[in-house]
Amino acid sequence: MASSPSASSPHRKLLRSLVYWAVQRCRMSESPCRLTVSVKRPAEAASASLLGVSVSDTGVGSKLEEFLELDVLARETPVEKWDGTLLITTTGINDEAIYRYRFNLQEEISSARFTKLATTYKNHATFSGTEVWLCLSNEADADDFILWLVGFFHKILILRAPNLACELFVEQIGNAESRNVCLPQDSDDMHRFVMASSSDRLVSGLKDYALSHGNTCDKCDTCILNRDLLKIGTGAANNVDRRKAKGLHVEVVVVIVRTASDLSCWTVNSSSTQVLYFEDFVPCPISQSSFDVLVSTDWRSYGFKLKGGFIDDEGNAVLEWDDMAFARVDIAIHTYLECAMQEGQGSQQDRHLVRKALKSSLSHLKADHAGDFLSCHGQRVREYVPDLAESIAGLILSSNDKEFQDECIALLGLGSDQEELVQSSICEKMVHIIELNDTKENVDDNAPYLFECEKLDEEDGDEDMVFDF
Amino acid sequence: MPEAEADVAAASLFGADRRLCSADILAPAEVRARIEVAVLNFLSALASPTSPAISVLPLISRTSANCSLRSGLLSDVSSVYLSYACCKRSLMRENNAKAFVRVWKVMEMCYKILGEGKLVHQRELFYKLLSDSPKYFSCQRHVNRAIQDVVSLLRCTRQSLGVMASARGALIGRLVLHEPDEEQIDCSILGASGHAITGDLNVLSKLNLSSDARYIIVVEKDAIFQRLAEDRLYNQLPCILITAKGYPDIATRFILHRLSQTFPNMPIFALVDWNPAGLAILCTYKYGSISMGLESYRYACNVKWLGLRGDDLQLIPESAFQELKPRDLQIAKSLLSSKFLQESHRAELTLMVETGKRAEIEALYSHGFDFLGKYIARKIVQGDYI
Repeated sequence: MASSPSASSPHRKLLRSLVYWAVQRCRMSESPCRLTVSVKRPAEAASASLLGVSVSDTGVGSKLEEFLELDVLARETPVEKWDGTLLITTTGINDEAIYRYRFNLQEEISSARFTKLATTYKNHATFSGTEVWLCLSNEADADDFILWLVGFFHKILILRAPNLACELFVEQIGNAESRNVCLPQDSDDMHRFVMASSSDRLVSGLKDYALSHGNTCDKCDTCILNRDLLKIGTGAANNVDRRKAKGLHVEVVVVIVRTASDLSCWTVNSSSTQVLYFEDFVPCPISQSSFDVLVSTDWRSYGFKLKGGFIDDEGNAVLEWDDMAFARVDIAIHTYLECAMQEGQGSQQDRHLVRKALKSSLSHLKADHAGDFLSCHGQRVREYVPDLAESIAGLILSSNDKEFQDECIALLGLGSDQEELVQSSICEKMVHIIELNDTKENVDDNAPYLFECEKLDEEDGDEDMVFDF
Repeated sequence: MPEAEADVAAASLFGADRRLCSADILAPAEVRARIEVAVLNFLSALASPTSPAISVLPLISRTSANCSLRSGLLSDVSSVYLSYACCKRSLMRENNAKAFVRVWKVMEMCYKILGEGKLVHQRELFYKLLSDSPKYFSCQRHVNRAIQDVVSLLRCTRQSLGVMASARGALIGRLVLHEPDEEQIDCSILGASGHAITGDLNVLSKLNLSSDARYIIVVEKDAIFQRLAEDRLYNQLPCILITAKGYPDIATRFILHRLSQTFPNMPIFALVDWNPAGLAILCTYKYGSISMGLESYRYACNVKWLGLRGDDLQLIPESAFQELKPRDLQIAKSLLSSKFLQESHRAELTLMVETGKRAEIEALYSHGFDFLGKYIARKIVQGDYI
């Protein structure tokens, strides 16, 4: 799993790892699974501040190897924050028993690091799953942590992974009524998407994300009504080798909301985008190679003006825009291995595929909504079109040569009584040509000359004749 | 001149030179027709069913690379001319787009002007365009350049477009002008500011000219022109004085050319400051200009450099000399690298650059206010000109 250079609290890193493996175990199982995270926080009056966290899934049983990767994290984490203990209960579908283990990753003595605990027999029942229980020391940031966890879960739900139900519970000890099912919400209609492709599900998830203003509020009624105003671009790339049943998939989805002065949520232009980055169906800090692709993409040829980008404390890529005409720009990148828990391919492959998928999604946007995503150059040229059209139309209409006027009107494909449409017709045709040729190479070289010209010089130097000689 | 000789003379300057690109002098209807063709071509390309496109404007390059010098066979007039190399003006190139639109705006304006049978000054045109399209025309320079672009696109003269430059020139001396159906004007009895030369080349071409002068003297600056006019130099020395009050405009050069054609035995002398700008002014009268190269070649004249020159510097007190400025040096560099500068002029220019000094004609007044007239007379009599 990629690690972000910026420091993220050890609690979050830990949860991310545990959830990641739980999700992969669910993916490896071929039947519908459930992932449940539950947090028990102390009663308000308690001075001891320990959070009991459990991550459980109904995927394939765990082989325990993945937990050894937590060694490094354990060593980096002060004991006060986490004592390095994990209680793991797991069973595979074909196992006869449910096995329990305890890891003490902070322990120096090797024999004390791993303990096998009592085993329970299944009595011929067929199920599989894993539960990991750990205890985190609270300090002052239990609320922050829970808030983050809720956000983390919201993000998982964006992917709408098929055959995976996710639940988050937060409970206060000693207060039975406080057991809150945080997620999913009743209104999340995820079952619609069982048959859809992974890309379509991501599109749906990202759209809802945009319509709830980045998960900062419940779905906004005004925005929901204007769902159709969202502009979507999707792109995918992979290097899948079907015979060996392995390979890397990359999907990119871009959702754009145009500024609309009559829709209160979308009157202000966006100035930055926090990119959603997923690896193997779990939100992750962005990989350096993907970040590099984001900041080195030629945004200007799609009409975006990128001011700069950085990776924030949580490992999210943030892109900052200049002078944008859009109220929201949301981007999601999802890279996943064909088979869960497989060896990665290395960042070179990543970079190439992410670039391809991102470019494809932007081209998709442009193809569907040509006028809105004209390159910055095209936009500047387009600004001159109305004045030019006005000038030429003015010339035509001022003429007292009826034959000339009629010929012009006929060339434009207008009827003889449609004089007033001359200017707009010229304007439309020019805009159409600009959009058609946007980002095509060498358009200028193929453009026709107004009159025949014997010999072509170089650039229009417009030599500033110093005193003319 | 016998007709056959005149034909050969004409051929040597105009017909033989196939590389010369010229702006035609056309009637309003013909220019409007050319503009209409431009519009129709543009719309055809725009509306093409298979490959719609925004046409590119081919403009004759007004650069030193596209200019050459040609010399007459039977006369000693040389002129600078432009060939057929074009540069592309495209809407799709960002730094070209505004200039592209300007060309169309000027064409639209000229089409209307010609339709009304009018002739307007460049200055009037500027104000009209400024009020209609301030985004595109914020200074006179934009207008002038756009007009020259239209000249080089349609290959017709500026006056054919219905535009003339405001008159700057004046003349005075032993010359009688007679416009058809108008009173005669005796230029020897005018006030010191002389007769203002109209910017309308048509009117100038119809003037009847009669003179008993022996010389034509082109004066760079208005102050000198007026001094000489007040002193009535032309009564002591039979001459015609002419000035454009600085860099010569087409109208002044036109009338000078007409004078030289009407009175072929009258040599033309130039009186300019001793600095690169003064020589550049002389060269413009003598060879024409690049920026208006499509039409200005017609009005080149054989102008000789009377003064101030290197030999005259001994007459000037040390204190009257000034340093050459960076702009002077730029002009000098431009002239030195040009194709037409004759050897003797080159030597003078080199002297200027080497000494790093310049001097104005007024410096001669240190010898008294009547010195200038005597200086001119002496130089002419001694044949001291290059």
